[in-house]
Amino acid sequence: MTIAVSIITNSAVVFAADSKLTTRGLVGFDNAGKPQFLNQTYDNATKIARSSLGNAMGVVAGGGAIGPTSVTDYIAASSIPLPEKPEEHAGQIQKFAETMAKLRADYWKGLNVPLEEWPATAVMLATAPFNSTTPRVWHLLFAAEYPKVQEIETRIYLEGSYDGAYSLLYGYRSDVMDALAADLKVGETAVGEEAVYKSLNGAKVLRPIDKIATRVMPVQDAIDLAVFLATTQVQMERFLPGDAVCGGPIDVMVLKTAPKQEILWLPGKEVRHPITGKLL
Amino acid sequence: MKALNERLQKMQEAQAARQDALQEGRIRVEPPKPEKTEPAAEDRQKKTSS
Repeated sequence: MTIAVSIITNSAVVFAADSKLTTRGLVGFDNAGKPQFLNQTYDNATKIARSSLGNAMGVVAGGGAIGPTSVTDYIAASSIPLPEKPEEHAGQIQKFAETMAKLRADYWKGLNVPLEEWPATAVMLATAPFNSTTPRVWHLLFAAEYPKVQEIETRIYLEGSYDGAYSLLYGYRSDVMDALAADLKVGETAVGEEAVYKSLNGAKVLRPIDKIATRVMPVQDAIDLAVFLATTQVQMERFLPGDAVCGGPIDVMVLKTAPKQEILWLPGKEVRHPITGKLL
Repeated sequence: MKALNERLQKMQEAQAARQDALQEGRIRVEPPKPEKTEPAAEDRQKKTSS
């Protein structure tokens, strides 16, 4: 699992992600022919990559592989050309996602693994703008055979395992709210989650996320906020009981458009020799 | 974890519309209170002495 943070300002997108990578390895089939998986984690993974043309970047959460290849390798090797018309952008991202989904489907079908056993993967993809300085961010979900693609318009968006960071921004944890929804009753009937979440969404009190104005936030402060949120999630998982699914250093990548378009890579770790400590 | 995230993801997606509604005045709120406040001296004293 992962904590991945996306922050959109008027002229940049900041992605931050931890370094714990969880993959599910196919280790064989049991006597009934059922596939057997084991989880494997690494604490030095890099989950953010820029596209080969340098006009897009992606961050992965959930399963780190898309079929036989890692998502970051796939993005780094991909060119995401800009269409001539802005309105064609969504269609192009959809096609990009469908190509990834086919790679994933061909791989698992080739191994005769049933669909419900395929690892789910979420990708956030930031792309350079056409007629403004604000980049666009897309959410690509590979859970079913076909991908679900939608544009992320929320300026601070979390993906992966993020309940700790979410509760800071929104002012509640979903498990607490779910319990409240089950316990609050009108007569003998529980008010239910839908009513509680509808009420939360229309709340007349300003939650922290309502007050954080990222549009005008300088890039440095957006980077600081993204790292703060990712670190908060990592540390909450560290101090709470149970296996942490986030961890390791926080890497950052920025797609900025002003004063010139460029992608900045700000890694939280360096590759070193394990004995001498020398930088490679 | 999956079910939990689906709920939170929907709330995150709805946040963009909520932000617009707040800025356009379609959701009316009380004037925001200052985030950082010092407790009154009297309150501090009560806390210390209790």
